[in-house]
Amino acid sequence: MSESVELPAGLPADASPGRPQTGRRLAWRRRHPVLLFAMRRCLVTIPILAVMTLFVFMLVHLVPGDPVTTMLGPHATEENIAATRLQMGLDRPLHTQYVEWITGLVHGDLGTDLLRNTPVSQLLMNHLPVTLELAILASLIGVTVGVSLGLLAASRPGLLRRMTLGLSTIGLSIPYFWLGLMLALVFGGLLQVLPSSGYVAFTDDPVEHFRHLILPVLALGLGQAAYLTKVTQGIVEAFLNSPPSDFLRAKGLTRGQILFKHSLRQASAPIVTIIGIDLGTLLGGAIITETIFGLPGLGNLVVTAIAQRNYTVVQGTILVISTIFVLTVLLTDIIVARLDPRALEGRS
Amino acid sequence: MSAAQTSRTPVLSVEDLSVEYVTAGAAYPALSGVTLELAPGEFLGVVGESGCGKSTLAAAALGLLPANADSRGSIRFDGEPLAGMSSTRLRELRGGDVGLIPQDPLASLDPTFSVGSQIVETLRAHQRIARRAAKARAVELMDTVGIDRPAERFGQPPRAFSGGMRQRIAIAIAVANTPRLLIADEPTTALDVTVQAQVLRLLTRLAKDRNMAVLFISHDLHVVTQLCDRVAVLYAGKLSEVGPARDVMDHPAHPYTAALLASIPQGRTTGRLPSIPGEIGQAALLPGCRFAPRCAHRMPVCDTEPPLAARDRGGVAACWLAASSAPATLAEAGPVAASRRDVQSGGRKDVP
Repeated sequence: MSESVELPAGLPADASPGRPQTGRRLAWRRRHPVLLFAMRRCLVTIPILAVMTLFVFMLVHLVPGDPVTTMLGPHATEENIAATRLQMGLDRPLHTQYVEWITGLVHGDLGTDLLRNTPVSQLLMNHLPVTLELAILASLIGVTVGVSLGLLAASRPGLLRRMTLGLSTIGLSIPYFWLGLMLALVFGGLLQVLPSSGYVAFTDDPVEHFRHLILPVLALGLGQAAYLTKVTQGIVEAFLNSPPSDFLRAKGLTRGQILFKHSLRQASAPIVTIIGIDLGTLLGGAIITETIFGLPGLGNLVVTAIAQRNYTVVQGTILVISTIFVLTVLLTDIIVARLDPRALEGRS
Repeated sequence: MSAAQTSRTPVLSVEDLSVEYVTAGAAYPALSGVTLELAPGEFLGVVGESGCGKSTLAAAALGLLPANADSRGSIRFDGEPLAGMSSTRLRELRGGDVGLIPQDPLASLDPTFSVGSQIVETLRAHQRIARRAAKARAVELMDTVGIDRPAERFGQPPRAFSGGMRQRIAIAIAVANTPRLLIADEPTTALDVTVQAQVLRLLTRLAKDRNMAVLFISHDLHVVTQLCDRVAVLYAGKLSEVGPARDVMDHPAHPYTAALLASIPQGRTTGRLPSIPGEIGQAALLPGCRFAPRCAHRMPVCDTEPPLAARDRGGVAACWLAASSAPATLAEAGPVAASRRDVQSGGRKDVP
């Protein structure tokens, strides 16, 4: 039994005679199980990140195709190739290369893009904000629309419920890249109300910046909205037909209190989990969406880099995306543990 | 002894209540023409087998029947009909004037909120009370229902409590706003036998202290006769017998009551446990007496609706047998009732 006791101020922890005296350390653990869980979870993340770097490194170095010949083209001379190899450090054994790369990482050095002759970290700093903004806005749309529609469908049975669920089924079945193309076609091509391609920096023109983001955000976010609608509706509806909900009504609570306070709390842990996991999917989805809508994000960067066998850039991008994903999952777990203490059970 | 004769307005009066559940186009009656009254401070037990409509009665009294329930007749709280109430007035009633102790305390508390906050919420839904004052009051209530170290356990989730303790929390929630009527829907069914007695004692004590009327719903006739002033026996959605608890136990006027009493296992029973032959099944769809197919005293006249016959010492019984002869005859008549004779003679002394 894990105890999460919030003691009122001024009351000694061991006020009762029956309670065994516990050490200061143990008492602390009992009183802050979520904090303890968060710390453990953070510690576990360190080896995960370490293994991840190894995988990213291997992935890039083991794929077929020689980077130097691809980079320099078919007409490069032997000397040229050898010189570039030496410059990139490709002549040394793999493990040496790995150690060097890791050493660089620790110092914030992700290597240099030899094609553009710029530090990879510089490239990432330029492209990451676009992708993050796209993914976060899409997630925001997904959560707002999905949770509202889910609550609506669960609380108003009948035609509205059937319509909402029907829509979300359609939303779930449409691939986001197809939706992206359709949105670009309809709003950008036929109606000409929104730009279907290109990017404007926020600092240049805030209005145009967001206008350019509307379609890609919708393309990415509507799928998540459809998924969250179904999940929210399912959990809330199950809760509204369960003994706790009956008891809450018998206590004289309003529909609103039962719906927004109690059933939403019930649904919050799964919703947060989905948001966390989906952020990874959204980062992946952003790659394709960015290509469709011509946004200069990480997706654009990595797609080009892969085609050019531009090692350092591919490595850096994949590493950043995976790290964001691992950290998001970490954060999600901690938030879920805070929201629903049952999540702590069986994980200590 | 019985408070039924008092001239005060009954806290709860159920008149000719019929409830039908409509599923997939077919209607199934859960309650048919039930009439009951509950005087202030009275302890009324409602007994019956599973599926006889006990819980439907509890839900109806709170105005919380499911959407597919179709109800007729009237339910009045303090003379005010539930049917005419606004949703705001109904909410005031629920948890305010009428407290509910749920059937399954393990499942009824919200697992994601601390028990303390669930008590505070009930207080604040009905009283203008500051958060801190409500918390102090909730701790007090937890103490009243027998939770050790209430201030410390206030913030714990329901899963940190045992079944019996959770039922105590549910009781604290039910009595938080000192209701005039407490509806206890099989409050001990989900609990260990050892804990049952403690919870029942707590319930009786609170009801007496705060002068609450209690509608005590149970399948256990034995418990009901011990706790309650009056007993109402439900069979397949119909009242078969209502009367003073002690007297119903000693002189059952309805063969079903007699059979229920006979199926309480006695200390020295050997061999097969006593039971009532047959099952409820679709009894609620029968035209005449619904118990007739399982009745040891079945007569041809039982195919028509039995009248409500007055019992000797108060109350009524819906049986042709009771209508035609004294209840005492029933005790002599069949093997089921006869097995209770020893208890009967012992119990008679207590009847004034």
